[in-house]
Amino acid sequence: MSLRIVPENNKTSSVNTTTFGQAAEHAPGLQDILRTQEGPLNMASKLNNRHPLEARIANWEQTQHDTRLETYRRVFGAGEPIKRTMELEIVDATDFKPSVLGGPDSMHRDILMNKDTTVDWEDVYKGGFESGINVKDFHTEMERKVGI
Amino acid sequence: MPGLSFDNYQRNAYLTTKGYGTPKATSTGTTIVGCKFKGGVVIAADTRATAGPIVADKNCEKLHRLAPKIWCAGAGTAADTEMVTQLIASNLELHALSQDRQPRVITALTMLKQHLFKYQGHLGAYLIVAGVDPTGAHLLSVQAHGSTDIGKYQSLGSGSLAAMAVLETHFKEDMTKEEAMKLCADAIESGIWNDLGSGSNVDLCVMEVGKDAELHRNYLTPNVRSEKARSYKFARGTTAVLRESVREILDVEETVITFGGDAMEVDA
Repeated sequence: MSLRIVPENNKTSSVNTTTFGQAAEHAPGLQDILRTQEGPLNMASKLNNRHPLEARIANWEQTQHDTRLETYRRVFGAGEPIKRTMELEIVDATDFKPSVLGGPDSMHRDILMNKDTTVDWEDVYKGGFESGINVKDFHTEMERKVGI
Repeated sequence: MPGLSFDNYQRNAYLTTKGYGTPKATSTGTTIVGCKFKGGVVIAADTRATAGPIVADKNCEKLHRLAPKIWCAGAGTAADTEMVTQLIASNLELHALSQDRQPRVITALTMLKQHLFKYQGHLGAYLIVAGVDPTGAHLLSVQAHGSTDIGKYQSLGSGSLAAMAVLETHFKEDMTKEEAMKLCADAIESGIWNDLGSGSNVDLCVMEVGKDAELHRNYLTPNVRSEKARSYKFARGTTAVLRESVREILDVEETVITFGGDAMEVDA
């Protein structure tokens, strides 16, 4: 277990056809291009010629979180990170609001992650690909959540 | 992805290969200085913003407020300094409210430094942060990659060498407020005259322990545009209308086209 401040710079040595999207039920070897409406996936564009900063920023929060939990494990014992992870998973499991209605409220998650008194670019520029008119529809989300 | 988006990076790289280079971001060429005096700190900046060789803004504001008594001067990419400053100002305010304490300059500095380090210098924000807080007066600076400095006098920006020359010559410990204001204004003026990236006016901000911060917008205006030598208005009757001709460019023809069938066909 390592204590990292900066996300690791490793590129994956192999990718699946389903690495960049949810698998489709009718064609489990591919990602669901009908649902995502993106068209056939261009894997090369997802792997090559990416900004060097993109992977760093995308993994920053996760890396900081992991380091924090690792230090808690070393100082307080294995129970601390397990308990904190459990609390976060409880929030994820119990908070459900469809993306079409705005997505789950982040208050509980913010308090647990100690982000309730901070603002970052994610709060200003909320869009991603799944925002605006590209929001996941309710049925897809419910199916995924329930596990159909 | 939420947050600052990298979506257009590949498209821009492709366009560059085809000959359409990325537009030059507005930069603050800039001279910014900060100087401590007995019981407080002064920061000053020029007011020119450049986009390549063109002056984009003749009177822009480079002194940003992080907290009522903590101000920062920004050099580098104008948008980056502005946005990063506003983000950290919001965070400072939230932090101060949740801790129920006056915000501290080192808190602002740490937030800025951690944020800029995360973006590895791609956010081109070079800032001089100064202010007063319950621990006293502070003068600090941050570079775009996240390194910080503490000092009694600092200068940043393209005119920093010109300004530093003035500061090194005339700085002394425990100056009065007026002496410090004069020194900073002189240092900025040196940058205005001797550096192409700096110009126009001098802005100044004084933060004294126990008092409110004072912002002196356009404290010095050594570059007022002079009045034109002659009047260039045309006298009435200089030209009368000599000839008029109107040419119709478009000939509009309207015809009604009927689609087959009487009623509207829903399923053809």
